[in-house]
Amino acid sequence: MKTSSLFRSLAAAAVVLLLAFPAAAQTADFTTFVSLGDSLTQGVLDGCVVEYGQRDAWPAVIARQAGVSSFELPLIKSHGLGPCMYLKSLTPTFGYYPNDGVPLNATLARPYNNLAVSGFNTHDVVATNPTTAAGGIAYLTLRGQGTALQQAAALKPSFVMVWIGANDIFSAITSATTIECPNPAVPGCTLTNMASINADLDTIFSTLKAAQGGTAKGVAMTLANGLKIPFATTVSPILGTNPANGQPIFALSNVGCPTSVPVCPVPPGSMLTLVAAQYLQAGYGIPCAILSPTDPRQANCNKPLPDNYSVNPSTGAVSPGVVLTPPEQAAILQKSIDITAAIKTKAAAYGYKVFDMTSWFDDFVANGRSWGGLTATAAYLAGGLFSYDGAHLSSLGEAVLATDLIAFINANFGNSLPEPDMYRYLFNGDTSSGGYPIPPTSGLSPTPDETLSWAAAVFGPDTWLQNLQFFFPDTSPRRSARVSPGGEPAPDVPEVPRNEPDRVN
Amino acid sequence: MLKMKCVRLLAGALLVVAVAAAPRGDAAGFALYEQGARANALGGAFVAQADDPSAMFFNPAGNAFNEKFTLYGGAFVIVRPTADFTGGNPYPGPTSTASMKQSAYWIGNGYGVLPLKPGSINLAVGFWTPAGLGVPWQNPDSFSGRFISQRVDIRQVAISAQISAKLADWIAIGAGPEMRLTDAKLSQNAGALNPFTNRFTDVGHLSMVSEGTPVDWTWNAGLLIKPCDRLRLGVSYHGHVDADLSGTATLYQIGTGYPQFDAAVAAKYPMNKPLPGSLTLQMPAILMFGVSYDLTPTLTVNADANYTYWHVFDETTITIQGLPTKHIEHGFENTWTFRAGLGWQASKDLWLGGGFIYDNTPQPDADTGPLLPDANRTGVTIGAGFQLSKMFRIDVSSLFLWFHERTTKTNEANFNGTYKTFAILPGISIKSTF
Repeated sequence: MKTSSLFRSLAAAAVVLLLAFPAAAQTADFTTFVSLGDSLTQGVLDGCVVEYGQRDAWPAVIARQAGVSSFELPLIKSHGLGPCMYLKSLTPTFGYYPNDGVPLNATLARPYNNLAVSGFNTHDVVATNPTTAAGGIAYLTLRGQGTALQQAAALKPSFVMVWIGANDIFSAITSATTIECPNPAVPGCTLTNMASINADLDTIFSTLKAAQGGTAKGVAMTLANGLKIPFATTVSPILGTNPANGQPIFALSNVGCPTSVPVCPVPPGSMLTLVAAQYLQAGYGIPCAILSPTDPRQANCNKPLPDNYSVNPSTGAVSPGVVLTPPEQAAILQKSIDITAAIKTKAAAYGYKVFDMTSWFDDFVANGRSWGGLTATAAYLAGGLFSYDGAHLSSLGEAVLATDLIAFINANFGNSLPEPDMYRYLFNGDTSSGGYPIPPTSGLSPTPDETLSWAAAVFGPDTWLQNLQFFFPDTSPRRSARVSPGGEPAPDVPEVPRNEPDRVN
Repeated sequence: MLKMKCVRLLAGALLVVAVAAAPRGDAAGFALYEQGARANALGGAFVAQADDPSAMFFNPAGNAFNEKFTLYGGAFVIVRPTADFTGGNPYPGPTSTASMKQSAYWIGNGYGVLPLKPGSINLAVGFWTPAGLGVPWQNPDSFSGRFISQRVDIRQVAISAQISAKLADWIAIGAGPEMRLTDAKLSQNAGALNPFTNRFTDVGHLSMVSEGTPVDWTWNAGLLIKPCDRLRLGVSYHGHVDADLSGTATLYQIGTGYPQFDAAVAAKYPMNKPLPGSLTLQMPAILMFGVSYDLTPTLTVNADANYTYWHVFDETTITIQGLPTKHIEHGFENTWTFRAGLGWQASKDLWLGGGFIYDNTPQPDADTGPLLPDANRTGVTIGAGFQLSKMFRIDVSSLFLWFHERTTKTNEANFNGTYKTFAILPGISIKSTF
């Protein structure tokens, strides 16, 4: 009887202890920390994969804050592979560093810890395993040793973080073209079907859980609303206001035009991608009536901005569309919602914590972040949170994301990971030695007056460019104009702008 | 029987002071309490004693007992041997350290008491410095908090005329209008992201100086009771003022070496020209309670509790033409201060005093930053008075003030770290009796 009583007391004490210290039992162990994803996890910025971007990608920041020195990366030596962009002029125009990046860590015998690959969609994580250098960055990351998922499992990760699915949508944004993929997918489609995504998410989470011995220690991140990135929000379809009637002057495209009318204002509610800025700069999409007779853009005015992507039949080169119509936006947003719901459901079913990236990103782009009197925003170029490609975070943006992920990990796993020190990100651009590369000063060709007059004429004071007003104050009066679309021959499709990647992530 | 009544009253008064002070401490913030060297020697616990002309600040009723024309005045200097900052994550980070300049700030006071009806009604005229703030950071162009504040100087002088009346041998009252004169200087840098380098950089230096001397009015009053031979009780009050300051601000452009960027910045902001600006500073009312008891004919113990209505200092709005209006949320809370002092008339010509102060800061973590890094405070005072002649007396004293180490994690401007400050406030006052 006494023994039984003692046993019961010990059992009760054990239960009390377990109840008292649940957090300690759940603490995340970063000894073998593995991340899976796409360019958003790999650390792509400025349209390239490069060492200084990879070292400041959010998984690398978290590993540093966790004190993990063995978090290995498939580093690409500067000047990187992409090529990497640098800013030549605030118009904006960009230069490109030599596309000469070589692997720095290729002899590592085991898989890398950050197995994210630029351009990967959900299916690529479970299926792609290039075995030759023709596989590009995927080969440099995976080295023919297996798929990203297989290599992650082989590491038997103590903690995993997964952020995948953006590329099941983003090509629809970057090409301004929504083509739902059937099952199986066909070349040229831009929105992956949910059956494929659901199956692949099952494979990803079940495989990782098994590799972790069933502990399912890790975090899955949902999708951000890609329609809120500067690539989609910076350039407005409204070019100005018609002083005669106070109505907005819309950019011109060939979408939704009446029969036999080759060019007309873009539909209300349309968005223009960042690529449209270069078309507009050349005169495409601008009603001739709002340009002075001597304006060099007269050569291309009244020619439409391309709506959807096109393929040059002789060269195979792809020219992106630049007009995201409201139906296209709705299709993209719905796909993002569907994928997010799938990630939440699947990850939670396997026991992984889910970070609500959707809400985080909404707040991130709406409010930015401030430190000691300095404010970084999502504004293109002026804001600091996004890199030059308008789709990927800058190192500062990555550090902000890492900070909030650390807070999430600390709250959900009982860790006490310290926040990153933002000072270097703010005043050196990143944490690399010497800081973010200073661009070559030669080639910064336009004078300030040229820049400002161009900016005032093209971007103006309209609300669509609030983000850029910091750089483009309205220094000249807007020309009076009347919209006079139509009647012009169908324009040639201009050359693909150089900084337009087929996939930005 | 009378003695027993006094002991009970003393116990009751001390209980009131103790209860008042228990939940919180001081009038910290930027209020100043050093208005007379003898009072300062007693830790500022002088509301019930109030037996020199500095009673104009501590308790206007005290001057009613003055039977001769008396002048009293002096100055204090505020020095900070230690005023250091070490950053915390996420910004400005632990490698960011800074100190305040080793500046000395002078604050003055002067009082005169003229008996109108000797032993009954007196007129007092004087000035003192009820508030002041000086936060000058060393190396202002590299200080990590320079985009919030590089330097701030606020000074307020009170001028008052009071009538005090002894209603009976055991009770006196005093009151008067109080004029406040305020000026301020603020400076900080402005930063922006240089898109060519992806670095934040300094693009401007903003300097704002108030002009003219706005006059704001409030009032003060006091009550002093001597219920029995050894015991004195006092209560006094100074009202609050809203100082509406106007002045000129100039935003000087700082070149970045990128002409396009500099041109864009110059086109965006009104650089290098005077801009009209304004701000309002709310100075709180203060209610002071005190008890003084003569332990022996030469040994007196005092205890005070001050309640400062800091809630009025809730927000500062700085308006500068052409620049975004700046709202600084302060969210100060009303606070209590506890003071105690012991005075000993060691000989006919020598008086010695000592005191203790405990202050809780009214400033929440969210507001604690480069503009005003306040903290709870513990102070010790010592002092002496020398009767040089029948006419002249010199009082000297010093306050040694330890600001408790304060680490913020929730600063509103996301500028967090640890502040350590130690200040010394020596002062001297001269009393002339005619």
